[in-house]
This record gives sequence, structure tokens and C-alpha cells, in this order.
Amino acid sequence: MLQVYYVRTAFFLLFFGLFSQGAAAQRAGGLATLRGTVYATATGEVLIGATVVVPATQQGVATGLDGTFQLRGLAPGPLVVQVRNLGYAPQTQTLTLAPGQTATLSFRLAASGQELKEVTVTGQADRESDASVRRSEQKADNVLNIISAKAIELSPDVTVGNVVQRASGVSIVRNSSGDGQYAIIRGIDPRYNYTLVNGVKIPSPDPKNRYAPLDIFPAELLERLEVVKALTPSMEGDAIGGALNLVMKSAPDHLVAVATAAGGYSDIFGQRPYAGFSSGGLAPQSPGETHPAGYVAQPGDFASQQLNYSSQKAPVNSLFNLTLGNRTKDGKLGLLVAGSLQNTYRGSDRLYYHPLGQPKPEPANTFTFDEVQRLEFSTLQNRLGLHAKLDFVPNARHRIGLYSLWTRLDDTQHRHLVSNDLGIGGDVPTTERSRFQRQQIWSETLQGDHDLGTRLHFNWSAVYGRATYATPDLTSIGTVRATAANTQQGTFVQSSSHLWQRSLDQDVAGYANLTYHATTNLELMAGGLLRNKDRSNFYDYYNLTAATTGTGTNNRQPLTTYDQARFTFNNTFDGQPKTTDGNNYTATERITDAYVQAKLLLAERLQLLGGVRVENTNQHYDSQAPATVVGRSGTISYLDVLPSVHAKYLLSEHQNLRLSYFKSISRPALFELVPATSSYDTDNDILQSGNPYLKHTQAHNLDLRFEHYGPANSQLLTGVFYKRIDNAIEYTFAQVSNNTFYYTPTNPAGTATNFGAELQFIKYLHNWGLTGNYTYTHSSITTTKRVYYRAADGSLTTADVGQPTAEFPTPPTQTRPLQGQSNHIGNLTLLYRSEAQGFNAQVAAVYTGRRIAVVSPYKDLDQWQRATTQLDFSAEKRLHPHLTAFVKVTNLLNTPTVLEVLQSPTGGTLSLPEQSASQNFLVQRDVYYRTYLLGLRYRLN
Amino acid sequence: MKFLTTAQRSTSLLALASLGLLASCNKSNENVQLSTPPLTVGKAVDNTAPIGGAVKGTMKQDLSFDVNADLIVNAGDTLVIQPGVKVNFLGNYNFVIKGTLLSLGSMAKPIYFAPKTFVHTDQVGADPATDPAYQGKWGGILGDVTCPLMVIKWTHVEGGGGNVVTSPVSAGIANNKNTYPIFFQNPQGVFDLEDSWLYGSTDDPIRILGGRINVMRNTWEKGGKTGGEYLNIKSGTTGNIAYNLFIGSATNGSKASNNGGKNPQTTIYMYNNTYVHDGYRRNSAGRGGSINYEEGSRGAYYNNIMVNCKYGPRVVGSGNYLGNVLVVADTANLKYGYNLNYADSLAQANEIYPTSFLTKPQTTDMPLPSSFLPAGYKLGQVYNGSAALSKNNPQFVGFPLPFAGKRLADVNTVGTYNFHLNSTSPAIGKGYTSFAPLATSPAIPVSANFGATAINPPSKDLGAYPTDNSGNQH
Repeated sequence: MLQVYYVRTAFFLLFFGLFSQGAAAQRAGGLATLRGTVYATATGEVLIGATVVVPATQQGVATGLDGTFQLRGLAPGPLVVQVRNLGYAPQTQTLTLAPGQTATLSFRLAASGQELKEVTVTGQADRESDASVRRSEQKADNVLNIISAKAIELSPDVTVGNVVQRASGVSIVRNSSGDGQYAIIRGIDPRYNYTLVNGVKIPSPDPKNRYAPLDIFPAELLERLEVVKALTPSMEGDAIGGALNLVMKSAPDHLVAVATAAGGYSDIFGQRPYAGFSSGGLAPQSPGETHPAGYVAQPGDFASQQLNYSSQKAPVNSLFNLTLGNRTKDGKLGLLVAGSLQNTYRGSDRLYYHPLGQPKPEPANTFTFDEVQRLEFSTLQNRLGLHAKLDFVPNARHRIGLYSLWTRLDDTQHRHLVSNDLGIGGDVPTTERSRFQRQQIWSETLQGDHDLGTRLHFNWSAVYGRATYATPDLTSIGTVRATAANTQQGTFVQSSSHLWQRSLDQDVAGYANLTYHATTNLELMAGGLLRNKDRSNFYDYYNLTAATTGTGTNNRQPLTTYDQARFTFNNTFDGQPKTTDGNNYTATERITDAYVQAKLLLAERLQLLGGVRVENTNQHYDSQAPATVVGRSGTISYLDVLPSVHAKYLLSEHQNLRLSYFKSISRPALFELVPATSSYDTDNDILQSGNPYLKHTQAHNLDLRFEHYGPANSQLLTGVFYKRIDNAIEYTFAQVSNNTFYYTPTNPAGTATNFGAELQFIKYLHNWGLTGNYTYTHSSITTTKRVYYRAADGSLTTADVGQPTAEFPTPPTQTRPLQGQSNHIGNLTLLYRSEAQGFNAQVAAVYTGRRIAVVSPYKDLDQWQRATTQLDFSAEKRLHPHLTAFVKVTNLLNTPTVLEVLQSPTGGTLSLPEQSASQNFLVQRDVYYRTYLLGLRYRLN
Repeated sequence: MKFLTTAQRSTSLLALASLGLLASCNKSNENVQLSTPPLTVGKAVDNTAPIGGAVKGTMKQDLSFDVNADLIVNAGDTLVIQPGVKVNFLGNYNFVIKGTLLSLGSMAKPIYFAPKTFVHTDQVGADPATDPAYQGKWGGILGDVTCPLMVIKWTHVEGGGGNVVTSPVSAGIANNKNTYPIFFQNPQGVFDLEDSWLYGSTDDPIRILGGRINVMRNTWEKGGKTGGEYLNIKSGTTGNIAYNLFIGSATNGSKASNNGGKNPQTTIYMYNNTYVHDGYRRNSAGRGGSINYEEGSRGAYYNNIMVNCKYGPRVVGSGNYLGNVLVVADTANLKYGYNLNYADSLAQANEIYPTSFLTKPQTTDMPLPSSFLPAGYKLGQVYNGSAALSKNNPQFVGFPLPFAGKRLADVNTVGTYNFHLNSTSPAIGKGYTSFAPLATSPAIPVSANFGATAINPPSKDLGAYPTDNSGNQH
């Protein structure tokens, strides 16, 4: 603990040091003052961080967030002032100051470098800026929001998963370490959103999700993050909430070198030790794979050293990043390479009231649980990202780019679970689980832009992507501490399991777009894409039980150490490889799309963009399930015609009014179609099953938005939206037998609707900035539910679909929001930025309203995630023209994730841990504690 | 005599000369036993080569069938198995019943479902870890949701309960889980099990997820390796369990629950069963060892004998954890009494009324609750049962008590034991007979082939072997 204290103290000392230094730098006095604003001539945008100097005295300041500056203490008389900014020609102005005068002066800088204009390659620093991003939002043909690299760099976030929650209308689904993993856009579940990297789709290493988890991408690789909320015909049509486009860093027009090194620590391991294991000795292949076909595994085939846990107090997180970029003198060839390495120790503590499959009947559907579990997660995440962007610009008419991405996330997780099983009198089962999981993405994108004559433009992409997932030898061991009366006392070995799972997702895709500028007011565009996806999944597992000695009630195997425990197979056939498991499958998906769109500018004020996209989907899978299984293999094909129209009306130079309609779809993941059951890889050991009858989702989307772009990058966006969703997909529990439920994707009957309003603003006042957004969403779906109750005839009765009762001649129903949809989502960020002192700081708050996390088959027993407010802090201070120190502190409020059932416990508040609300029953509570990161960034240019 | 017709009476008068003749000519007392041809439906199943896949028709008397793939009786089809048939499983295969199964053995010619090569290791004290009985050498007779009728009479079901990677039935058994040697899951269907033998299994020998059931006069041995109830019943099940001998189960002999969301509410009468040395292979505590009612089940249990079981009848309702009460049996609609519980060890005497559960002591129980429970006994409290030790020995004909063997858990098979009652047994004449077997709705047909041979009413004696020999025939 002492060590922890020092680390914390160091952080706070640094933090206050930054402020006090800043305060000392504030000097007053002087005879005259000069104020002003610096603009870019071409765009009219203000320039942030431009240097304003008096060459004679070397007095100088930098412009603030709103482009303004103030020079004090100037001697009266003639004065020469020069303004410099990277990528712009310096400008010098002369004026004469009277004693005590406060003069005002504006500068308009022109962009420098001929090659920039000719090849329309804008400087990296420029594209990554807030100003450029606001400009893009304003100029865009459709509804979108953008977060700049500059904003990301300043933010407390180190992975893209956490960055996205700063965007308007976006909330996140967290992984078990508390990091964002998937984006919920406008209350629409992650499954309805897609992720692009540089505008193209890449395959997902997640075995269950079509789109890559966002926590696999280090934030430092991003140039900007775009959240697209209305799809144009030229975009792929399978997003209903929206699309995330990760625009990775581009090749610069000059030498750029950025290196970052940071260290930090996760506060949870000040509360308890990190208990990790070594993944080094894990067998990559199962016994069934390493032996000839038909081999029956022996208990001795399984390693156990992964069950040796070693404790570490407050292990140090580390983060390194290196970015290098340059362009040849002639400007034809540019290259940027970036690498990122993050080693973070994360953890969470969970309290889980394991719900009983069937509620109590009196009163009807009374929530009940059969175990109280406490879980501790200790996770080491090794994130490695490499990316290279090469562009070749032979002349002004052609541009070829090659983008390479390789990223890997290793997740070494120990789960410690202690449960108080209420069905047994005094046995306390404990399960340790060691899971090593490796996810990798390798993606190559070759892109070309060609001007074919003055009016015709051709653009193409060829994409190869390969994503892999592997969990070798996921091992768990169950023990039990027996304390009950009249039984043998002690701690005993119970069971063990070993699982191997691998999947491969490989995409080969080609995109082509042809643009014809018919007149200055009419642009026609046509194109299409072809994508071939191959997927395969491998699954093999072995369940063992503790070896017992002799017969009788006192024959349990006492526990010495985990790796000394002896196991045996319970059944004759348990050792056989699971060749008839449907989780062993191969699948293909061929997407063929074509579109036409036209963009028309009417009367200089109204822009209309409309067209239609046709998407053909062809899916096929073959599983190794037995021939008697329905849906052992399947072929699914469908054709969607997706019209869209986007109108943008320029109310003034600074104001847009947008109205858009688009139809879109969402395809189930291939995993969700294969009717196989898998377990083990969920935090709460839930069995999951695919559903070959699952239909793809279709939606009509309507958006209306007003945009005001004020001076100094200020912005006000407000809008309303409406979505009508057919064949929504939600996960529900399908009962297989008593207390056995498969968590299965289903299409709830009926149409879901989702409407809402959105507000986003950005306002800067010299060194201070306030940005915020708020989204209200209302969604609604009505589904059938079960009711378990005592009927009038005295019998305990279940009313359900296909099981009419006297009280419920038709199945009970319930209307509720869509799974994962919060009514209220908001962000508020307060920024302070002083270029003169080289100091930035921000406090960011994210509010996520309550939402349904788990849909219960029983009425009134859905599990809701309680509303959360998360607060993060970050600051940086320039120590030297090239060197910056930064600090990031996340989860200041130690915000827990709480799931609860909105039902008053009968007999008032329960005297149980964390059961404090009289109207709710807490089901699950996760706490993550704070994380701290302290680092240095070296930037050349 | 009042049934004699006028004609018979006159005949008698004419033959008054001979009393012996009078007696022998009384045709109404004649005991006529005519042979009936065994039931045959459809075509005979060929046994010249191993079978697998769809099967229907008749397995002819005394033939042996080797099974080398899952067998399936399709929905709408019927399979009749005649006496003396042996169904030998060559591997981990199941007998999936989507239609009707009639396994009609006889006392003289029982039917066998068993692994092709199967060794009984029945010496007392055999290690269950290596006993083939618990190793799931084949799957089970698995009724699907469409099975309307499963009749199993005079049939041995041995050594089943293997795992399935992908479940062959449309519901009820999860992928990657063990099967049950017999499984039934149709609340509208009829499951009849009479005069049969269940021997060995990995988990529950029989699981019922709904059905109208008649389970009478069976013998159950070696059920469940480290867990499992001989007869595990879930929601949607109604019927009677009587005159069974449950010996050496892993957990309970018979258990009823209303879990699973099916109607009607599980209502089971368990009466005149004998439970011997049950509950010792279940290594976790408190799960029960004889009779169990939980989670909304109701019914009655009377006239049972329990000998050296790990726990007495367990009525679930407490397991109280800081105010959260476990899911309770439908205690308002559960009646019981007239049960005899004999314990040789103090640990067992302390659990005649299991700790932390809701079983109410009844004044009709033996031993008399007041003879060993403390004054002011509260349901589920820990007590010292030493006063009940070895009391009310039921005096079995061939099972000497107090138990002289090494460990209570060593008794798992009947072998040479005989659980009939000696004439001096305190169990004789103590039965409660003022109730009728549960009438299911609709009633289970009484039929030699298509329903129950007999739904025996309760006996005046306790246990499965009443002195009038109307009970278990084994």
C-alpha cells in the first residue's frame, strides 16, 4: 500500500505542479496591449496555436482555442508583429501603439507549399485538428460527427473503445475490465452498427460479432474518428444506428516523428493484488488434434501450470508509441509508420446474484436467485498495433495509397469465483479460470484515386483482411469448501475443464466508384463492391471430474495445490474429440453491392443527394453437427434494395438544415446462424446457441438536423430522428430443459420503433472550451413473456406462448425499450488550453441512462443497467518545444456497473450485500476503480 | 356364492351326492391362464446386421439386436419389443423415441437394454470410480416432445447415460451434457414403467420433464456416479411412484420439482417405496438422500421405509441466506406421514428431518418424532438424533440390521439381499390406506400393452414388499 501511496502522490504533485507553474507564468503589467484573432485565408477558420511574436523583443504568445491572442506589456511606439503557423506563410504587420492603448489586429494567413494545393494533400497536423474536423462535418453530404486526433490526444482515452463514448449519441458496452468494447449509436445495439477502417470494412477477430471490438485499436493510431449517422448510397447499407469510420494517420507532407512513453497503474490492484498466471506453457492444440483421429484423451494429457497464480501488488502499466512519417521532396511519395505497444493490468470485482431460471410464483414472477457469487478478474492486456500508410502521387491526377494494419490483443485473464450455493447446506464452491485469448487483425488496403479527364473521377479499393481468434486451453478448476453439519469437512477438488477454440475470418473485397461531374451543380456517381468472406471455427473441450478414492461419503479428494489435483473422465466417451460438435464449422458470405447516386445543387442553397443501393447477400455454412440435426448446414440468400435521399439546405454560410431518409439492413453474424451451443467464454458461464432461423434486420431511418457553425470552431447541432425496425435481433433465453437456457439471438415478433432528439455544442472562449452533447432516444418493442403464478384453481401455472391458461387465454406481453437502449445519453467536457504555457487539461463526463442489458423470458424480470456517470481527467504540459508530459486519470468517481431487476423485493429491502434499494433487486455489480497514466511525448514537427 | 346363476344352482342340487364334485365344478373359481400371442405391429425388425437410424414395427421375441448408430422411432411410428429381446449397444448411441415405444417384457422373459459387453461388478465395496455401471457406455431411451406413449414393462435398462455432443432430441437435453438411461418430456403423454430394473447411470437414471406417469414395482440399483436422483421429475408431471426399491442412489431416490415452465403443476404421490442406503455418492452436502419435494411441486408421500439413507425426506423451502428463501415446494398442498426411517449412524439420525429444510415431523412417523427431537424443535434446526439410533428396525428377511458392513455407501445393489418383511416387522399394519392413487387427467389407461398393467393402491404395510405380496414382484 505504501508504494501505491507514493505513486498516487506523485500524480497529484505533478498535477498541481502543472497548475502552479501555469499561474506563475501569468504576468501582468505593461504599457500597451495588443489583442487579435488569427484566421486561415482559404477556409476562414481560426488558427489555434499560431505563434504571435514581436521579433524585436522576442515577446510572444500563441493563439487560444478560439484563435485569439493577447500581448501585454508592450512598449509604446511603432511595433512589428509576426504570426507564424505550420503550413502557412508567415505574415507580418506593423502598427503604432499609444501608451496605455489596447489595440486590436487580425491576421489572415495563406497556406504555403504549392504541392499541397496541387495534389490536395493537406498536412497531417491540419487533418488531425479540430478546425478541420468541424469543417468536414459542415461540408459533409450526410449526418455525421467527427472526433479529431487532437481531441483524442488530449482525452483520457488510450483505446478507440473509450474514445467513441465522447461522440454525440454514442454510448459503449464495456468489457469485463471496464473498457469500452462496442459502440451503441443512438441507443441502437452494437450489432446494428459497423466499423470501417479508412472507409473499408475489416474482418472481426471476435468469434461472435461481425465487427471488430474497438478496444483492440490503440487510440494513438487514429487521425480521426467519424460517426456516420445517415448512410448515402455509396456507403454499405448494413448499419441502422450508424457507422464508425476509423481514419488512421496519414502520410504527412514533411518529417514527423512522435514518440510516447507512459507508465501507470490500476487502482484496483491497490485494493487487492493482481493474481495472474503465465500463458507461456499453454498447449496451442487440443489432445484430439495432436493425436491421430479417434484418439481418446487421458487425464494426463492436460497441463495444469496455468493454474499457478502469483500475486503482484500494484503492477505497472506501460504504454509506448512511435510514429514516423515523411514525404519525398517532390511530394510524390509519402510514408507514415506507427507502432503502439500497451501493457495494461486491468481488473474488476463483481458481485452476482445468480438468477434462478424460474422465478417464484407467489406473487407472480418474483425474482429469485440460487447463488451469490463474488468474482475477481485479473487481466493483463498486451496490445500491439502496427500500421503503415504509404501514398504515391505521381501527378495531380492520380493517387495510389497502400494501407497496412496489423494489430494484436492478448488478454490473459484469471477469474476467481466464490459462490454461496443456496441449494446446499454449507458447501462453498470456488472456481478458478485461466483464459488466454489472442485476437489479431491483419489488413491490407490498396486504394487508388484517378481523374479521368476533367469531369470523370475513378476511385477503387482492393482489400485483404484476416482476423483470427484463439483461446488455447481455457482451463478451469472447481473446488469446494465443505462446512455443513454431518458431512466431511475440508476443501476438496471437484472438477476441471479444458477448452480450445479458434476462429478465422478472412475477407477479400473490391470496391469501385465512378464519379462524373456533369455540371458544377450536378455530380453523378455509381459503383459497387464484391466481398468474399470465409469463416471457420474450431472447438474442442474436455470435462473432467476429481478422481476419488474408494467408495463412501468421505471419499472426496482433499485439495493440496491446483496443479497437484488429480482428475478423471466421468464417462467412457468424455475423452473423445468433439468432432460432431456444430461449433466446428466453415462458412462463407458473398456480398455483391451496386449503387447509383446523384448530387444536385439547386439555387446555390439546396443540395440534394439521392440514389439507390442494391445489396445481395449469399451465406452458406457447413457444421460438423450430426446429420440428424436440422440446420446442420444452411444456405441463406437475400436481396435488399436500399433507397436513400439526403437534402442539405444552406440557411446561411454558417447554418445547414439537413433532412435525410435511408433504408438499411443489419446481417446476423455467421456465428449466430449455426445451431451449436458453446459455453465457457462468457464471464457468467452462460450457454449460447445460434439460430439458423434468424432473419436479417431491415430499417427505415429518418433524420432532421439543424447545424450552426459559429466563429472560432464553435458549433451547435440539433436534430431529431426516427427509425422503424423490422426483424430486430435481440438475445433472449430459450429454455432447453429445467434451469438450462440457451442465450440465443431471436427476432422478437413485431416492429420496433426508435425515435429521439440530439443536441451537440462546442464553444470556446479564449483558453476555455466547453463541449457537450445530449441524446434522447425512445424505443419500443412488444414481445410475449412468461408469467408463473398461482392460478384460481390453486395450481402453480405458467402462462406462455403455446400454453394458454384460464387467466391468460392469450400469451402475456410486455412493451419495453430495445435491449441496450438508454433514454438519455450525454457528454460534457470542460477544456482548458493555454498555448503560451503549453498546458492543456480537460475533465470529461459521460452520462449513460439506464438500459436493458438482459431480456428475461419472464415478464417484469428484465435486467436493467443502472444509469452511470463516469468522470475522467487528463492534462498535458509542454516541457520543451518538442517534449510534453501528460497525465490521464480515468474513472474518477469509481463508477460501478450495476444490473438490477425493477421489482420491489417482497418484504422490503433485503439485508444482503449492496441490496440497498427498496424498489429494485440488484443482480450484478462490477467495480473497476481508477486508472492513472503518466507519460512523456516527444514530437518533432 | 351369490353370483351363482339359477341354472348353476340347480345343477348343484342335482349333484348333492358329492361335495368334492360341488367344489370342483364351481366354474367361477376356476383359474384360467391362457397364453396370448405377444403384440405385433408392422413388420419385424431385421436383426441379421447391426441396426441404426429409423426403426418401427416389432422386435420379435428372444432376438438380439446390435445397435451401431442412434436408433429413432419417428413421430407417428410405433415400435413393439417382445419378451426376451436383447438390445445391445455397441457404443455411445441413443434410442430416440419421437413416436410410441412399447417394451413389453414378461417375468419369465425380461427385455434387456445394455452395452454389448457389460460386466456387473456387484461385490460390496466396489470402487465406483472404476465401475462400468457409472461410465455411460451408451446413451438412453430418449423420449422427444412428440412421444405420446412410452410403456416399459419387465425390462432391464443397464449402464446408460453417456454424453451427447449434439443433443438428438429437440429439447430437454442440452448439447455437451449427459443423457439419462430413460427420458420422457411430454406433459400430454403417458409414461408407464412397471416391474423393471434400472441398473447404473452417470447421472439420473430417469428424468421426466412432463408426463402422466405410472412408476410401479421397479428395482433401482447404482444410480448416478457422483450425483443424480433415481427418478428426477420436473414441471408438467403428474402420477404415482409406488412399490419401488431404490438402493444406493447418488442423491435422492425420487425427487419432484415444478421447475421448467410446463403445465400442469407437478403433482406426485410417492408411497410404499423402500429406500436403502441412498445419497452417499453425492459429495456435496444437503442435497438429500431419499425423498425430495422442491420448487413448487406438490402431492403426497406415505408408507415409505427409509433405511440408512443420508437424509430423510427433504421438503425444500428454507436454505435461508440472509433473508432470501430458496424456492419452496408447494407445502400447502403437500401431505405426508406414516414413513419409517431407520438409521444406524448418528450423522444419519441427525438428518431424519434434514437440517435447514422444511420437513414437518408427523406423529405417524416412525420413530416417533417426540422420542428424539428436542422440545420446541423448529423446522430445519440442527438436533442430536442419538435417541433415534437403530430404532424401529423394519426386520427385512435378508438384510440384517444394524448394518454390519464397513461403510453405508457400500450397499448399491440388491444381490442376495431380500427386503421383504419378517412377520414381526413393526412396518406391518402401519400403512395409511385412506387415500387413492393420484388420478391423472386424463387417466392413464389400464392395459396389458398400451398402458398400466396395474396402478396399485396403498397397502396397509409399509415399504415396497407388503405381506400380501401385492407389491414389488422381484
